[in-house]
Amino acid sequence: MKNDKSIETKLRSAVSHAVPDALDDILSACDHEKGKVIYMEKKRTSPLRSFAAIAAVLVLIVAGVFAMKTFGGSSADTLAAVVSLDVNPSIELNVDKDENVLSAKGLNADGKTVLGDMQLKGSKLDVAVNAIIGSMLQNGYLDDMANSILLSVSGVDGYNAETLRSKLASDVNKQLKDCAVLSQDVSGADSETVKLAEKYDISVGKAALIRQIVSADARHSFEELAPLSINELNLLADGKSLGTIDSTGKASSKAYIGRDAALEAALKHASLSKNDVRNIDIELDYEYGSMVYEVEFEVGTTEYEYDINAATGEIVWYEKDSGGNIEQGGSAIDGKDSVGKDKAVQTALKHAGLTSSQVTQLEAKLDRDGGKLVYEIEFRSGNYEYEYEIDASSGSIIKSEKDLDD
Amino acid sequence: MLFMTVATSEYSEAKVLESLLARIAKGDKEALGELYERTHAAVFGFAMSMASTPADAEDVLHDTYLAVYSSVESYTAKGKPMAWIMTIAKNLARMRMRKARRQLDIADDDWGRYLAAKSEVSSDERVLLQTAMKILSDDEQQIVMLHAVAGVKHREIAAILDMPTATVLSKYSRAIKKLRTVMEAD
Repeated sequence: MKNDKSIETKLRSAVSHAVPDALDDILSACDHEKGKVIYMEKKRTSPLRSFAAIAAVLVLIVAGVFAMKTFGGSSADTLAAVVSLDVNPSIELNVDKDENVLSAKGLNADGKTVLGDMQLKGSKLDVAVNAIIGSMLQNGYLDDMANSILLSVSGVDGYNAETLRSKLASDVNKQLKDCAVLSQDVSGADSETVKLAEKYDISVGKAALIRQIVSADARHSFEELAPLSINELNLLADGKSLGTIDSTGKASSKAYIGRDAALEAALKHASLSKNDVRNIDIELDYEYGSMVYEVEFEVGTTEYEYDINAATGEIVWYEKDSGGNIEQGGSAIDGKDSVGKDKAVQTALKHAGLTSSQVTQLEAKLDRDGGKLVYEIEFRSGNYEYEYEIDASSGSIIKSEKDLDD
Repeated sequence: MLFMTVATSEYSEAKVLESLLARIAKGDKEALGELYERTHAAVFGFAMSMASTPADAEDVLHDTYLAVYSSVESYTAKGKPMAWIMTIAKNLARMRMRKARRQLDIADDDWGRYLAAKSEVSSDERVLLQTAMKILSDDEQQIVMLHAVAGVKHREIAAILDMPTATVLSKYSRAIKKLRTVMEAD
């Protein structure tokens, strides 16, 4: 790093010494040139200029948006549909039945950044969507490391949202090569989805997507997934049924170290080589507040499970299970188990109204549940089987079950 | 803390350049002079990475400021004045390249002569610049000049050169590594 800097400093100095002095020539030439030479696009186009190749064509379209503002879009039609675009920025567009934009709103801070001072009111919806995507590219919200976008359309008073959804999805697919587009009609979103969207301050469309993922994989909770970007959600959704959500393209995992590197990190920690292990299973997941590679393998009767931070390769959590003899660790749990196994067991027993001498087959295991560290405690007494989940950081009882065992 | 300081100084440099552009828009040639003093090394470095001969690079430098002066009204204050100036330089260099492509070996000699004639350039610096032009690809040279010399952010470089930011990042680190390896070997 230090050497990088010194090369950079040397280059800076070398160039500053090599530069000719052209100022006098420039100043005298300016007198003749003022107003003649126009190398840039013509004036008063857009503040959006020159970004990624995929967006190049969009620049012209953005210019069109500004023209629209001046010349057209005076129709004061009523709201027919609401279109939301989620990437991480979240933007909502209200449109009339002729697909003219009535208003545009950033639903989060990033969404507001993307909209900037673009005036989309009065422009056509497809033009506005192009402009927004262009701005997302320019602002770095969409790139080859995060290429997923969620389009959600909601129709008002019987407006055909499905037609609009499929048209927008195909438009976006055409404009953004190598992108992943999720799209859905959320006209029929239930009140629970709307409530969750409000509670977590996200679009109804994103809330609907998260609910689909949670219902396909119960290990996740809504709360845990709400802050994720659409690309992260799309990675988690990979291979799962998403109900009525249309999905094209593949979410990018280029921001991550990759499966091979994750396996390597896990094997290195376990002091094993790839040839030693069998039943290797690697899956991208979200645990303890970060994207992780969940790596599993076996050696003899010993099972290994690792959560490797997908971006950094850090070992977030691991468990080595040798026939019930469990060893655990990792940055997410080391030093975070403030309650301790004994205290957790005491809490469960006290709740059950039993003492340790009255129970058999006592098992206590540190585990995670939706990113939370918990003790799973099981024991039997009489004809009953007890099951507890105790929060490992607070000691509070999350779950208690008592079943008649017959 | 260090990060804060850097961010603030970049921010204020952009502010200074923008206020100069605003003055230039009113025909203030003194402001153009000041803008030139602050930015011409960066523009020339970028021109070096694009032009095949010193004469072409000098022309790009000259024409860039002329274009800044004549089209300054089209600049929208968005905090990225350097990126705007560099985009102009890039467009001019590309137009020039289309007009005249010269033999690379001839150009090599040209640069050697040009740099040797500059008394301010030390022999170490001459070797560094010629090495950079020799061992780095065109893309790499442009990215290195834009970031290391002109201080343009990777994300803005991606915009100027029509490349994904990740590509810019990896090309930049590869280029610096290459350059360091060669320079340390010497």
